[in-house]
Amino acid sequence: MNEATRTPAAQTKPQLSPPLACRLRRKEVLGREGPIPYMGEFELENCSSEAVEIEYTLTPLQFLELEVTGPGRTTISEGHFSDRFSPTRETAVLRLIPGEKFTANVALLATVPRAKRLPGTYTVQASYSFRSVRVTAEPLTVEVSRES
Amino acid sequence: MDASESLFKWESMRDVGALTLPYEQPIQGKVFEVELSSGPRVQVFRAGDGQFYFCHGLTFGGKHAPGGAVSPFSGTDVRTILDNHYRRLDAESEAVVGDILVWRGLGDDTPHSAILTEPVVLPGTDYLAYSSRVRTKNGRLPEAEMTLDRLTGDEFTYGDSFHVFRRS
Repeated sequence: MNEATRTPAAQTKPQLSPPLACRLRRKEVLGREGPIPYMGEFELENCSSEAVEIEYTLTPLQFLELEVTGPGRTTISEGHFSDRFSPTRETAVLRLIPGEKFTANVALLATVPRAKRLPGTYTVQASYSFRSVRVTAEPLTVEVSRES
Repeated sequence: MDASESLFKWESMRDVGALTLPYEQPIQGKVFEVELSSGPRVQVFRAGDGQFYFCHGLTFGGKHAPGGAVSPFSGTDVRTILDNHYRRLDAESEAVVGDILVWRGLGDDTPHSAILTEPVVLPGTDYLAYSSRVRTKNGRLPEAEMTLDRLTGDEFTYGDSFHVFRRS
């Protein structure tokens, strides 16, 4: 994960259910050798009227799942997004006040091994599960024009 | 300092308690406190099977611990090791085989580390090129050698925010 940011609440919203909402969108991310392909931004918003505290020991994205459907319309993603991170000893807390958003850059095809990435259209479904609440983002399509 | 010399005084290991790592398939194990050869103590994780380790276990040699592999925790423990046994290189272009890469995360977190196996300098810069190769153990995924672009870019997403360190 890199460049995680938090956006202050614009205004307090009325109580909604579920308390969290998540979104996934494309984002151009520049690396030291130019744009990094297939990058996106994951956003988590506290839609409730109370602060939400998310405890984690891997990353705030510990509860993110990226399920990817390949050109053959079958699920080709493997494993869990957070399986690539190493744990801290201390538990950290991401605290979002009502209306506040947390964003982080993510590789849209992170859970798809490179060997499986053939040219075609992929659909990425992000979901975030926390305290028995699972919220999903609108699916995002990604065009792979070459083997990467 | 011989880079192959252990950073840890294995005979000082002390059981601290049980811990389960929250991966998709949780990994049960124990936390141990161990003294570094320089004196400070750090905490490490040992899985119940004695086989599992994560990136910092590879990078700092914990995978070879007697009695089963151990891995220093990200954050405070890794920083303690770096502060006492490594020096940060001013320019990545000075990097040589065996130097280590440590990524920065939120706060003091060090979400990933790897061992440089083939440094390639980006022409006209002081930076390592993405074609550089590292030995890496990405979380609970298998240990592998791969190019830096897979770690910084569209597959593992650790980003460019790493520093190069050399054993001192």
